[in-house]
Amino acid sequence: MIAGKNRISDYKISNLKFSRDGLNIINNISMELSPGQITALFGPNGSGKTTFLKLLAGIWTPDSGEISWLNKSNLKDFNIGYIGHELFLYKDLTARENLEFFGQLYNTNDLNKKIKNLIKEAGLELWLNEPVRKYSRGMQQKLTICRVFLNSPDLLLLDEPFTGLDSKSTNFLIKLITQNKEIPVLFTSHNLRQGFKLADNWLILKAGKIIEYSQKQNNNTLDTFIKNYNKILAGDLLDEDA
Amino acid sequence: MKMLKTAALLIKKDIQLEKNTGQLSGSILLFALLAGTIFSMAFLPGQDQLSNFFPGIYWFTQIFAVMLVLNRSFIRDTENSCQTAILMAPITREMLLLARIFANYLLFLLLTAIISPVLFILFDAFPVSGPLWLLPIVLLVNYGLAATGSLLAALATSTRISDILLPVLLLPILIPLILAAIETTRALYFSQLDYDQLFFWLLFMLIYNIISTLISYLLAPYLMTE
Repeated sequence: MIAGKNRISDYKISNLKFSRDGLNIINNISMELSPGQITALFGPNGSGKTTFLKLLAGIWTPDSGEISWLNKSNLKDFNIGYIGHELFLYKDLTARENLEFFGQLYNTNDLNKKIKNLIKEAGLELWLNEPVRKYSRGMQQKLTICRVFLNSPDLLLLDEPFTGLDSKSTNFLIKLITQNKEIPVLFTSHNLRQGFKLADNWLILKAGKIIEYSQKQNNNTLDTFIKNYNKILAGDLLDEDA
Repeated sequence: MKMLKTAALLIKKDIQLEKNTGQLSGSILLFALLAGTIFSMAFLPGQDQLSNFFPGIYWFTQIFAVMLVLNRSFIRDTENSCQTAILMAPITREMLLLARIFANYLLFLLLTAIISPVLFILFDAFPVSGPLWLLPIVLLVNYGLAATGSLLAALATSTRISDILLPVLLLPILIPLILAAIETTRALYFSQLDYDQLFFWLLFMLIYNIISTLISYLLAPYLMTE
């Protein structure tokens, strides 16, 4: 069991706004995330996806609006697992040293056991005591995934998590997500097919606003979703995968 | 307790990084030897005026070494955005900056332990009166360096010119501390120890350190950012 002891049953985002250098990047977003729900966030480049995730992760502070869990609005009360564009790993530390440092920093229980299990699942046992700088990019990404799941997250925020991953690493991440189904997941992707397949809910963000929200139970098919996406974003450059 | 635990983790991580790379310890020792040798050659004719110039050389060598360490340690955290992962840990940014100050404090004390014998031997300049008073001076000066240095390094590393910006910001703010450090150390090189002067400057450093810590605490949420 990798999931944390605090279960997010009601993760609410209300009227979130964020601007930088006079530019409104996030415009009044409200939404909810629930356990057992995987939500995909799509949108063209510059639509505010990464900014939105960074606000939810508490890395940046919104200008206004609220992020709360059962009336608690201090994000330090949540254990948020975040995968961004960067690795969040010390290249001069070994995999074990990295995982031990971040595990202890996030007060992870049964740390050694969890490290052993995750490293085994990632297939990195032989590399455990090697400095991360010796790893290939894909191995580093796998280790980043291990670091996130090690800390028993209450919520997973994944910013384009499949970019650069080979099929084995992609399967590793999907396996961990599905094994921990009770953790709410919000991920961004440019790959409409993969995102559609994995998620239960789909959001489309454009110019900092959620302009479309659809759910699996609405019997959406991939083709209608892509058609709808293209229609909504008409005029924007579309991803080749779409 | 949380702050101390985080400080211990940061220290352990810095030691592991140092053990794996050996980047800092070797260069700091070399720097101390070079600075000491150059200063000792430059000031050789004034050996009889030791009490006047040695405290200045002693503390400036340390301050330059501290700046090398500070910049490097913060840059190590910003590489691969590790700082972001640290910021997301269940600890407030105020406590995180205090932990960083404490970790740097212990690191600077270690620096003093490396640099001091080198300089004392090269200059043949052991304090003549009350050498034990060097201990509170070293403890207070290094804390001041850690508090002010960590605050400004956090500010500087959020810019793209941190290696230039850090000394430009740090040195003017350190002037009162440098002055106090030199004056207290100088007192130890006179045959008769002037306790009034010594206590005045020790108290001055204590107040400087309290103010630096308070300012660090208040500004931490704004400076400890991605």
